[in-house]
Formats: sequence, structure tokens, C-alpha cells
Amino acid sequence: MIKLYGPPMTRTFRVMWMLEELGVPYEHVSFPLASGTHKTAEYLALNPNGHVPTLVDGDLVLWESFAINMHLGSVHGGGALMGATPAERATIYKWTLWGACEVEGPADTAGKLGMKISKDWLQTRYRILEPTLERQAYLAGANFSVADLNVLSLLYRPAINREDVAALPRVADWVQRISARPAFQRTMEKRK
Amino acid sequence: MLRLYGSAKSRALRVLWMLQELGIAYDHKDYAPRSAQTKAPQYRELNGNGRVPTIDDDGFVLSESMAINLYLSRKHGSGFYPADPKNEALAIQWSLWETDRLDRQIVNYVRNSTELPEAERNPAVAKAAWDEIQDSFGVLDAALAKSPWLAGPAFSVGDLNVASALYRGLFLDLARWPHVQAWLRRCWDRPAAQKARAMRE
Repeated sequence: MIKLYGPPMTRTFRVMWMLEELGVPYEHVSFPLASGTHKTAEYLALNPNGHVPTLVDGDLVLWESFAINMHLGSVHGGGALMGATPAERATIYKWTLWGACEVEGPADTAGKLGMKISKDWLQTRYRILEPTLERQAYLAGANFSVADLNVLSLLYRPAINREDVAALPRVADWVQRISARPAFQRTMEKRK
Repeated sequence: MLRLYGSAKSRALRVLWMLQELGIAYDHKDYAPRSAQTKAPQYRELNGNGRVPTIDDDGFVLSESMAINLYLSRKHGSGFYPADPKNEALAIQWSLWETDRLDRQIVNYVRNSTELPEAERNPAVAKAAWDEIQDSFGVLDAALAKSPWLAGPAFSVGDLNVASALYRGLFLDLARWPHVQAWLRRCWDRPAAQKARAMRE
């Protein structure tokens, strides 16, 4: 059975949500970060970065939450969440890497240097989504995909106030539609 | 014909390397980062971020350098895109890991230690970045001690994405991480990498 390591209030949340979407059973190994479990030799053997989450699926040990989600989307659920065409799949790579490079990375650096993330900064980033969501219901096309899950999950980072994107009409609507998904709701229950 | 926007002195270098590996014809618009061309409405329509690179593959428009390389290597059935889903997952893992753990840290370190005029350098930023870089090279070195390539038995898009992003690493002293040093040299010694590098230097 798939084993997922990491507490729900971290990036592990994204993978929990993905597994809920796919209905794939898994064993969740959660621990408070304060316990230092992710710095033990046993854990570092799985993930030498000492970060969460880590996914173990048979002999595959994987880290980087976004990569884990793209892998799960490829091998489960008939690949339906990883796009119907090569172009849709590429678009999922694009939005995921956009999220990693344009939102998550700078937010991490700001956090480490003790800088606050402003409303303007977040709006400027997410405004990029507006023309796409004007044209189509979801980031990679007509259907919900890993791109939506990965990019929306960034709004659940600790230093980010997701209300800051409420002024962007298409984004706000997209957030509302996705937040109504049963798998998302179930994951939020587990996060409490 | 495939069109690539972005000069070799930008993250387009990664895509130029992939295009040389694949040997496909392309039209190159070598726009510099933050140049007037990238601010023009025509370009903003292709890439709302105004960043380079972007590709236009007969009407299919894609940005994010690493996503472009994953797409191109997969589309052209090149063998650089791992067929085994596990190795595919590792190629994506290492690509994202680089963006997360090394990409901006190396830029921040090099800019704040050598590239910027001395008065504009921020030593605190350089130090924080260098601390992270050391940890990350440790992780990469351990992985490369176990396997010569990052995602399976041969050179793949995972190696290309990470090694190309470490272009500035070619000028750092990596002696403490011998496996990283040897792997980076193996990757950059490839004829395709040499051609791409020649376009930049």
C-alpha cells in the first residue's frame, strides 16, 4: 500500500487531496514537525532533504509534492487528471512549474528573509490565470486536472492569505468551484 | 515550424540544449529577459508573465523552461523522456527539486557575491542562499553516488533540466561534491550542451 509521510498542515496536504481525488487507499504516517521525525536517520534515508512530504509506492520513493501529484495522476484513475492530450499534459507541467517558480519559491525566500507577502504581490501572480479561466473552465482545458490542484493548493500555504485573490473574478470563481469538490472537502476535514 | 522565444542568456539556454539534443529545426527569436520585445502586447499574449522562454509549436504555446523540455522530449519520443513511469516520476521530481532548492538560490548567491556592483550586494542574502546551496549539493551528491544519472539508467530530461539550470555551477568550486562535479561535466560535455553553451558565451 502507498505510504505518505508528513503532517496535513504542510505541503503533504496537496498529496492527501490528490489521493482523495483518485480514491487511492494509503497509509498516512503523520507526525508533528516539532517531533523532528523528518530529521531522523530513518526518514533521511527516504528523503535526504529532510522535508515533507515523501511518498513510498513499492520500490519508488518520491519527494517534491508537485512531482508526486503528477506521478499519481499518471498511474491512477486512468490518467484522467493528467490531461487528455500531450498538449494538455504539457500545460499541466507548465502551470505546476509556474506555481513552483513564480509563487512558491519567492514565497519561501520571502519567509526565510522575514518579509511579508503583500496583497498586490499575490494578485499580480494570480492575475496571470484570468485570461485562461476566461477562455476555459480549468487551467489545462475543460476538465479539472492536477494543474488546478497544484496551483490552488498554493493558496493554502501558511504565509498566504487566499482572500487576497477574491478581487480577481475568474480566479475567485475557480477557487469556489474547486473548493466545492467532495475530495477537497474531505481533505480539509482531515486537516482540522 | 517550432519557434523559440528567448536568448541563450536566459533560461531559454535549457531549451536550446534540448533542441540540439533532439536535432529538430526551429526558428529562434533571441529576446533578452525584460527586453522591450518581451513587454510588447504580441508577446504578452503568448506569455502573460512576460518571461522567456516561450515556445510556439505550430500554434501550441507553452512557457516554463522545464515544462517545455518535458514536453519536447516526450513529444519527439527521444528516449530522453523516461518510458518507465517511475523514472518519469524521478525526472519530474528532480526538475521540481532544482526549482525549489537550487535555482533562485544560485542566482541570489552569485548576484550578491560577484555579479552585482559591490554597493548593491546584500551579504545576508548571499549567505542564506549559500547555506541552502550546500545542503542541496549534499543531497544531489548522495543521489549521484548511487546512480550516474538522476532518472534511470541513462541521461534523461531529468539530468538535462537540472544540469542546464546549474550553468552558473560550472563556475563554482564543487570539489566538496565530487559526484556532482563529475556528473555536471558529463552532462555539459555532451555535444548538444557545448553547442548551446557556445550560443551564450
